[in-house]
Amino acid sequence: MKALSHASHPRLGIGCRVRKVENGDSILLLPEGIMRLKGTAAEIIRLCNGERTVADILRAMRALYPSSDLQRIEQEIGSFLNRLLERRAVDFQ
Amino acid sequence: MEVTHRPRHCVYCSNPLELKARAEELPTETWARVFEEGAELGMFHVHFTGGEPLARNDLVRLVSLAHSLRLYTNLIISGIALNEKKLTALIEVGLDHLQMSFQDGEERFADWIAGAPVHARKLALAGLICESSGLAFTVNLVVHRHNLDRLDSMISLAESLGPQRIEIANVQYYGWALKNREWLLPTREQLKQSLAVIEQAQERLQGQIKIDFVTPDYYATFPKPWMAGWDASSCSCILRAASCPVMLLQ
Repeated sequence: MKALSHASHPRLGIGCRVRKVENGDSILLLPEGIMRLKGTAAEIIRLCNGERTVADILRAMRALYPSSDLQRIEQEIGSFLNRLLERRAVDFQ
Repeated sequence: MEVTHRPRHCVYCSNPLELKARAEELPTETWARVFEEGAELGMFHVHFTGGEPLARNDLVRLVSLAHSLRLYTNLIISGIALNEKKLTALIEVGLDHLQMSFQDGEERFADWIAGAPVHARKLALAGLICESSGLAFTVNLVVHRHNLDRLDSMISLAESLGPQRIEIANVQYYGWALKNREWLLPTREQLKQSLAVIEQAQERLQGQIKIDFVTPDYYATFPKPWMAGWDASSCSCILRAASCPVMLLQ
């Protein structure tokens, strides 16, 4: 079993790409799947470039949403990234 | 898109018993129109399947056409007709994902069910695919009564090929598989044991390889959603584009 930590460098998985759709939303295209990226999902995925660590991503999101509860940001982003990892929509080093 | 019904010679092929002849296959320009119209309607993915899509000489062109419309391209093959040159050409024109089937973990059994000595060749191809950067790879393990007891070693083989995804697909009882059903359908006990093997592998490989599983129709409480429900939002175009359980992704 492989899981993300604050020091991991997540990036988009092989064969996964983000595409804008007509209404301005983004979708994530996967092997045999599609995810509609709602709310902050697209921003989080954009930050997964293989260079930023999970800790960097959390910092960036906190800066974007300073009034949100820190613990909640951390928990929700962590669970979102792990869900993406389970589908191999993200990968990490 | 079932671009051809030219063979795969499998006893568990889900293609109809009476296949469309080569002469009835849609020409390149008609597929181009199907892709264009689909993209306009909001289609995001094109899955090239068959038959064996590599039997078509224009497959690289078809993938290229779909890719130029920003469609996600997925190719489902047996692997026999693939070579390094063709693989490189497919990647160059934008193939996103390739799915190749394996019949067993052991060569003698795999070649026996395939009816041809192809297992070693498929292994070599999987090595090439894995080295190709940017191409997502699914290993499809076709399971039935005669190999389900070896699922553990089949998963080990698949794992060693370095895919992002493993699909454990019980034979789907349509076409030839329906004709051979009595011979292929696993026992309930076999199925039960295989579920435990899968669960264990899923846990062990979580975050490394995504494992999907397709239950055999006859052991499910309800008819399963095709492709785990993914098909609720997709449509199939079969050769003459006659049959379309309707989609669409809004």
